[in-house]
Amino acid sequence: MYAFVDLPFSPSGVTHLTRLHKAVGFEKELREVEEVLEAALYGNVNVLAVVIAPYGWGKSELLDEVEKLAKERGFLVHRTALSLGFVIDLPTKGRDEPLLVLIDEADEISRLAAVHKLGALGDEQFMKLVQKTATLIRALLEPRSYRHILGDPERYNKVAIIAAFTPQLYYTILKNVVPDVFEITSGRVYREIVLDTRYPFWQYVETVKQRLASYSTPERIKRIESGDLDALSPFTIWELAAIYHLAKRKGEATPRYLMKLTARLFQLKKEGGRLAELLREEGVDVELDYDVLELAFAAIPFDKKIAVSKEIYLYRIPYNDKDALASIKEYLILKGVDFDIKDPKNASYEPYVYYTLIEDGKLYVYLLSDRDIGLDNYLIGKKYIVSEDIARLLGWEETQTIAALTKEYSQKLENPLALFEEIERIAGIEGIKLKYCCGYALWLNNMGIREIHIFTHVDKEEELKKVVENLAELITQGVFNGYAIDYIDIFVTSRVLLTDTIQNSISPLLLTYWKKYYKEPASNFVTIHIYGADRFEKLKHEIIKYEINKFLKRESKLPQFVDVLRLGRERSRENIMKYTLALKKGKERKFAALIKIAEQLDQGQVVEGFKSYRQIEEIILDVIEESIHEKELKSVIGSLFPTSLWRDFREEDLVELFKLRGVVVPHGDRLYKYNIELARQYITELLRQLEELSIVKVEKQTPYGLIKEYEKINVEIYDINFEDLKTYAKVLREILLKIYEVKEKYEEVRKRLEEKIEEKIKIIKRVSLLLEKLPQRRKYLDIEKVKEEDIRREEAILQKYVEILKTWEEVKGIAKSLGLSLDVEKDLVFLLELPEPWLDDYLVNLKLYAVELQKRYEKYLEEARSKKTAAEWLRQKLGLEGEVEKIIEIAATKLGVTPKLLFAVARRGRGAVLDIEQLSTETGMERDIVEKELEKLHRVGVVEKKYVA
Amino acid sequence: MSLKIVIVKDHEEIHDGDVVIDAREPFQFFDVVILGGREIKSIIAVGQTSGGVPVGIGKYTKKVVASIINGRIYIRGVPLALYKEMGLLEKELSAIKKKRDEFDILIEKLKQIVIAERKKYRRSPSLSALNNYVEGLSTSLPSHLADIVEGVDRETLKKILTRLFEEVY
Repeated sequence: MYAFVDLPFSPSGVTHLTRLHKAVGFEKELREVEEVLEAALYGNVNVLAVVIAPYGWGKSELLDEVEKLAKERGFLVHRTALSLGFVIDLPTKGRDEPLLVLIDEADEISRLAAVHKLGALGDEQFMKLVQKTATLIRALLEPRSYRHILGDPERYNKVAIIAAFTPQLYYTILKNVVPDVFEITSGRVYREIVLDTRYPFWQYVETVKQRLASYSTPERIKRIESGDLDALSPFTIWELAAIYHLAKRKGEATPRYLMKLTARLFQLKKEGGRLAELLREEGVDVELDYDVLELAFAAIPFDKKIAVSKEIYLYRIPYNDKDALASIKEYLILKGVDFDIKDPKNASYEPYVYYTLIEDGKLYVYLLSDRDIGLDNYLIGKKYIVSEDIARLLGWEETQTIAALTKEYSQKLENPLALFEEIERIAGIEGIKLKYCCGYALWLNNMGIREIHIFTHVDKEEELKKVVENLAELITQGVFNGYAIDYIDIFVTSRVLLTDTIQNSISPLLLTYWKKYYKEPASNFVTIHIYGADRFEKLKHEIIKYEINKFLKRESKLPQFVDVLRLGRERSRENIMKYTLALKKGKERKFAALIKIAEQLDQGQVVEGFKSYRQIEEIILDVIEESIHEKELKSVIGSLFPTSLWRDFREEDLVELFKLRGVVVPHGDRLYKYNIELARQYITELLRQLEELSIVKVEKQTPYGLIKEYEKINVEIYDINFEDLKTYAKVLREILLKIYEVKEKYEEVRKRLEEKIEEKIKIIKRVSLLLEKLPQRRKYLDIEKVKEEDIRREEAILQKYVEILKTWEEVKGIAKSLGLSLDVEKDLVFLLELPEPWLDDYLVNLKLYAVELQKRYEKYLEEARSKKTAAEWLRQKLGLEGEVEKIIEIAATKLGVTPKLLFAVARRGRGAVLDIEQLSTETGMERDIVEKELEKLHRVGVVEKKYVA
Repeated sequence: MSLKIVIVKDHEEIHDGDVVIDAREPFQFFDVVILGGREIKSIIAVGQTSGGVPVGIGKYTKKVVASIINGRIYIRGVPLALYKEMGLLEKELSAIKKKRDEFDILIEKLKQIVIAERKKYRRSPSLSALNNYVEGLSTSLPSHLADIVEGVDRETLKKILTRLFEEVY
């Protein structure tokens, strides 16, 4: 219908069997191919080149061009597809006849590689394919070694192999599985040609135009040449713009997809259809008039005003007019569009904003603007686009929002402080905010590295001077407001001063020694970002672009300053790490480990973790000059070196190590650089300290007096003579080690003595309680020497003492009643004068005696009772009164009886039965005599007869 | 035959008795009386004796607290009332006396031997033998001596020898 000899577009998007067209935009790649072919042709060597491009990006198209080119150069071309059934079937060629083998990756292989990655190797056929390909390439590159495959190797000279692979197959699989072939450095690949994956609008239009021309009948060509027919016919530029817009929206502006869409439109139009139907097929579901939908989707201007259109300015700017491009760049940035004025491949198409076309062999940018942007000579005039409300139906709102946002950002970033805050946020700098001249600073500890980020804005020379002065001070001191610094990152911006001016003022500072004493320049620890008047806007636009992309959730490159910061940080980290120390010790105490390190360093050994020690020592000795206060030295170390990165090693440990190395000698609170006189004084002082530790003396004031304990410790040192730094350090370490050991021992002993005193106090308390009760025992309880067994002994004595007194208390009255002169208290007084009084024995005897006393007392009471009865009986029977013993004697004599019998009768009282037997036993008198004497008593009427047995 | 024990109190004079306990003040010290090799529980030593043959020493002071003066035992001490009341004082002293009597017999026998030897040889070989034995210079005694002192330990023998020397010279 359109006067074509064949379909210009394959419905599948793949290349034609009989190719009439020419690929567009492969100039660069073809130049590289040409070099490869020439290498084979003239170099008389066999070469391999690999073309790498993603699926659908025109590998086959390029190979078509290559094939054509090679043929023109006299190459015999053998083209084969790399598919699962791949077979090696090379044509026969004569010697010196150039051969080009083109290997094109088949889609099935691309899919396998993309989906399964290295897992595809699990497929036996796939694995064989890889091996076969590698073998073929090896054979072609080194025919002598593959005679069994190629036959006569002499014939296989001047061979070029060009293989086109997807990145998935090439990078993931082939390079890993057969690196001897595909590794660029060690393998056999002569050249890697990476296909430029950008496919801008103008290239697409040119491809379509060229494709249409290639398949045109001569009549059609004539009509085009005569101006009768547009070269894009049957398409219009609006249709192509709409197709590009569609592909772009789907994120697939690839040659194959675009060709597929173009082929479909070609087909539709051939059948009387139109673009709007294609848009519907592709899911654009908006209820709009087809004409309007097509124009709205094309998003480029049209000539005729329609009901839903709005007027715009259209400019046509040649791409080679860089000045003009620079001025529209800013305008485009405000629209949220990043426009590259250097690489035409990046100048493509942005709906409602701009598009690009090749006209008369030159690239033009068509810019749509709702205002006059001042490029009058490029102004085409006023044109129309569909109005915003309609465009919004197709998702144009985004563009509008972006424009608004961009404007807002741009205004905000006019304020340098706001700009710095954005930089902070993007670079992820969070720290303590400090005042700094012409801006501010942030201090932070970034994984052990103390960083300061300075943000300054200078518009006047004086301000710049001040910044330089402050920076110089910062670099020299390495401390800001008391915060130590390992790394400086500084931003200097200006809207007046040029970058070079600022650079020239600051650069000399970077050559000065870092922190004054380092032996390397400050530049190793400082990153500078200068954005003078000439770069200020660029910085702003970079930030705006990043923010907008982030807002749109588009993938976006971080602004350049982030990379600069990261690189600077990394580089500085490497330098900073050179000043780290790490103490690796076993179970020994830190001090012992330090002594060991000092010795190893003295012997010139390499100490693990102390590689940088010597340069640190050198720097510190420079700082010290003659002497330094120990506290100041610690602070200097903290500010000079990245101590937070040091492992198990602190500033004070380094000071200790200096002392142990003998390079500094303590004198009072200060440390002096080694000199023999001070060293001698110090050794004397240490020996004195050691001597002090030789006696552990513990005293404690208690209510019972001062309690003291002593113990001696051996502190002997054998050799204390030295003559120089090295021998001094050795002697010093020996003494310090001894002090260290003795101190440990001292502590141990002190603790023990304290415990001993505590024990003693407990004992003394017990002793005191004892002595309160038994003061006379004091001489046997020497507080100084008293032992546990003494206390126990005395406690037992006290217990017995108490028991004796108690027992005595029970019988004391009885003893008195019995008229005994026993004085137990007095006995105890004597007994308690003895170290070991036998109170046990005494108590036992007292108890026995108490029982006896009881008995005696009972007997005594019984006698008293008997005497009373007898007295009563004597008074009644005989009328006698007085002392019983006397009356009995008198009465017995009078009555002529034995007194004891008379008492025995009398004590029984009146009316008692007088048993002769009992009376005989009681008195010890013969029975007959008892009977006779009772008879006598009867006769005088004292006892009744009848009672006499 | 019961033992006549005399306790001399303050402001009293020493008078006869088998055992004299001098309990008069002032007291020099307090100690345990060791008499005849055993500790006496019924008397607390309070001072040192002078003169006579020492027979008892203070356990801690090691001073002579009992001696034989003119054939009777003289103890510088204070009897404990309880032990005295219970008759333990007499019991303890009687045991000592009995032992002392045994010593007297032993000493008498040895004395006779020594005197007889001296008459015969001017010097007594038995006395020398006893001395050497006590001093540890010899490990055994001649059989005629061994029979007499059988069962007497070396320490007691030393005391016997002291008395023997006193009585012979």
